[in-house]
This record gives sequence, structure tokens and C-alpha cells, in this order.
Amino acid sequence: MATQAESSASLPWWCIVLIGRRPKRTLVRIGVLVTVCFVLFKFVLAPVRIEGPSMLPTYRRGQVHLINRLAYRSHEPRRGDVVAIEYSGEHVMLLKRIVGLPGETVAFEGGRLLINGQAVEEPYVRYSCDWEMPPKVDLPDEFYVVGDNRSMPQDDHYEGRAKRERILGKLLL
Amino acid sequence: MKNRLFALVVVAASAAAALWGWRAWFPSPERAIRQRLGALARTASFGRNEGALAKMLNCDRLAGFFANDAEVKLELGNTAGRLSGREKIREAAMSARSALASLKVDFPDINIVLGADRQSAEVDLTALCKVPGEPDPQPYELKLLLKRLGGDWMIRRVETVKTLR
Repeated sequence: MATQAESSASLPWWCIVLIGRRPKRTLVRIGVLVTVCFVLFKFVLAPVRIEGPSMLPTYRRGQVHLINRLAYRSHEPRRGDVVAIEYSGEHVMLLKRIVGLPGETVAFEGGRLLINGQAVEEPYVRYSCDWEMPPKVDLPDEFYVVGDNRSMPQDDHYEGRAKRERILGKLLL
Repeated sequence: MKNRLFALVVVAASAAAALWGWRAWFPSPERAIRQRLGALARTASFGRNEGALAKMLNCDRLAGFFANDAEVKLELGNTAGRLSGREKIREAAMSARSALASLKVDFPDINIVLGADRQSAEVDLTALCKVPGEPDPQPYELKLLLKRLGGDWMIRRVETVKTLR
């Protein structure tokens, strides 16, 4: 104990501020922290920064969120889930909400979402919508995704059927 | 002991330098394609202050990335277009440079699949295009077919991929 106190006393103050009184322990802590962060952000979570207005008002431009890559290991994506959809990689992704499941027919009539001909309640859609879309059938491995901001002109809003393999994970926070 | 250690360090450093030199002078096809696409993105980008001569030269350089019989089939938003041949591509680049004040192109995710002969490659990439007046860059997914012609990787086909159908 006396030895530790002596050795820490011999360290200059800036060294104590930077690496603590026990440099070996600090090094181990840093190593563990780096490893945990690497594993966490490589295999479990993907941070995303929102761009564009398509998920308004639920998610706004500039917000940072996390995608859970493991969300669909035990079950398939569900209606209402907000998911990240890959383009050709993980640097740029689409953030959309799943409204149609594989095999379902999706349509818009007077701004209302119809699944298999039945109107679906969407509490997350706050802005008025006048979209019209004839029924589209999702293939067995496709999910129909759309943003929450339906006040945009439909031509300017990127929505449609996404293949299951393109869904990276579910928005966590 | 010290001499041995010094010799070991010198050998290791020489080996690392040789490896670096080899990779720089003789890049793998994947590396060469990535470098080529990086150069393409830089050439396709332009600023507000690009002069008329620079505009022409850069359009020529841009067309130089494409094979003579290249085909470009694009669907960008609500507009679709098809270009055949290097000259048409050069003309389209000229008109794009005249219509836009500036453009910033970036390819953040490049996936390369080399052909069995290693003389052709299929590339799937995301093109991020930032134009003035738009708050966010617009992403497009593209599929490119490249062919090795005269030692350079030339683009033979470009088409948009529908991320959402």
C-alpha cells in the first residue's frame, strides 16, 4: 500500500490527470473499453444520423439514433417497426416504417393506408395525407416500407417494397 | 544482441516498404477499381468557379472513364434517360455542368465482384450527389459493369438499382 502511494506520489501531476494513479489499470480499462465499443458498434448497434424530411414528425433531421442489428435474429420484422434499409452498404441507409408484410396487398386510398383492403390505424402519421396508390402485392421476401411524413407529395417520397436482406435492423432509440 | 535487433528491425522495415511499394505499383484489381471510381467521383464533382475551358477538359476526362460502347441507363427520381457511347456521355456531362451551379459526388459503399477472368467486374455502389439548394445529398444505388481495356478499368454499363421496388 505504501509502495503504491509512493509510486503515485512520484508521478507528475499531468501524468496523474492523463492516465491516473495506476497506469497499468488505466491501460487495461482502455483496452476493455475499446474492445467493448468495437464489438458493440460492429456487430450489435449501428449509429445513424437522420437526413431528409420523410420520417417527420417522429424523427427529425440531424437527430442521432441507434439501429439494433440483432433485432430480427429471433423473429421477422413486424408492422409498425422503424427499420434501416441498406443501399449498397451501411454508410447510407433509408429509415422507414414497415406497413406491409410479405404477401400482403398494400394500397393508399384518400390518404388512408389499406392492407388487404382493410384500413389500418396509423397513430404515428400526424400530417394530413391525400395519397392514392393502386394495390401492390408484396412478394414472400418483401416488406412494404414508407415514411411517416405523408404530407409530402407522393412522387417526392421514396417508398416501396424492400427485400428482407436489405433490412439491417430496427431503430432502437 | 543489439546488432541483431537492429538488423531485424531493418529487415522488417525493408519488407514493409517493399510490400507497400509492390501494392502501390501493382495494385490488386479491386484496389485499382476503387482508385478509378474515386477518381471518377472527383472528376464528376465540380465547383461554382469552374471556368469554360476547365469545364470542357473535365467533361473529356469524365468521358475517358467510359468505354467507347458504354451504355448508361439512369432513373433519377422521376426522370429517366439512356445514353449510348462515349460522345453522348460527354455531351450529357457538359449539359449537366451547364445546368447545375455545382455538384459534389461521393461513392461511400463500393462492392466489387470480379469476373472469373479478372478482366471484368460488376460493381454495386451508392452515389451521393449534393447539389446547391438541397439540404441533404441525394443517394442513388448504381450497378456498374467494368472491363479492363488497355490496362485501365473502363465503365461499359451503368444502371440504377431500385433499392425499393
